[in-house]
Amino acid sequence: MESKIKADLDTIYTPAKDIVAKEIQKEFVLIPIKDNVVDMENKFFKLTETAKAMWDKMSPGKNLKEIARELSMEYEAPLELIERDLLLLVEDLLNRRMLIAVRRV
Amino acid sequence: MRLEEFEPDLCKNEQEFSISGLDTIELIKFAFAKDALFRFKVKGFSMSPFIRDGDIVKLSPVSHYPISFGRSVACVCPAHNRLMIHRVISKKKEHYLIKGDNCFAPDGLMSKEDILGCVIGIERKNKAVFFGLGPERIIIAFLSRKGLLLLVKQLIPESLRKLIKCRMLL
Repeated sequence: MESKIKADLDTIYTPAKDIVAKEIQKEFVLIPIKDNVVDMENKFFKLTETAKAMWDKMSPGKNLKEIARELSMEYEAPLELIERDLLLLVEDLLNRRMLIAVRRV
Repeated sequence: MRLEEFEPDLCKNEQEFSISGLDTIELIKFAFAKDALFRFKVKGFSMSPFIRDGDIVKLSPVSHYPISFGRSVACVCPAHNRLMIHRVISKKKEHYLIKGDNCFAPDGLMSKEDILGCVIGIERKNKAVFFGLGPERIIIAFLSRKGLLLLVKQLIPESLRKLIKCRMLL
């Protein structure tokens, strides 16, 4: 059985190169590129509105702790809850190879 | 916080989700910007019998697969701003005359910028279809340009049509 990749709050994560991230009909979708093909006959993935907000923050290169702090202030939500949700999303994306760890800060 | 996973045609979570032509154009551009190929299901009958409704085609960026006479290309129809896959039947300076194999009239001249990519593969019922992509495309394009393709199709006896259909699946 394949071991799951764990995420941590001190690491910077960035979207993988081999995905297409695109808003389609007001839905934000991630389409994996497999064997150099964007295959519309394969599964693709939709991010919820909250997950999209998290995804957007990941691009500029902040670690998860900083992202969680920003989101907590923007959405006036408890930091612990945001951190937990953020870790869940990042782990999900990491295990689908849609996100890669850049470095630990 | 989880990703919602679904397939384009078989949506999970009971969500209706179909991709419009405009979105497909954008996705093709995105894929090509990443130097990837694009594989998707086509709708319509304008390229029948070489590309049929429900066939799956694979597109390559024009930088990898140059536009040439007889090649089936995906382009954006400037008049309607919609995606179509038709055949190049002539080249005039920097423009290409495009026409569907099953159409009476050409779509008009398209610039290279209007052409998104070239068809490099066709699949029908899980089998690769080669007829129309090889050197025979030159004859198909020539007949189409002269307006003879539809006539030839009508003249071919039913038995020969069946044979061609079988050959197209080889």
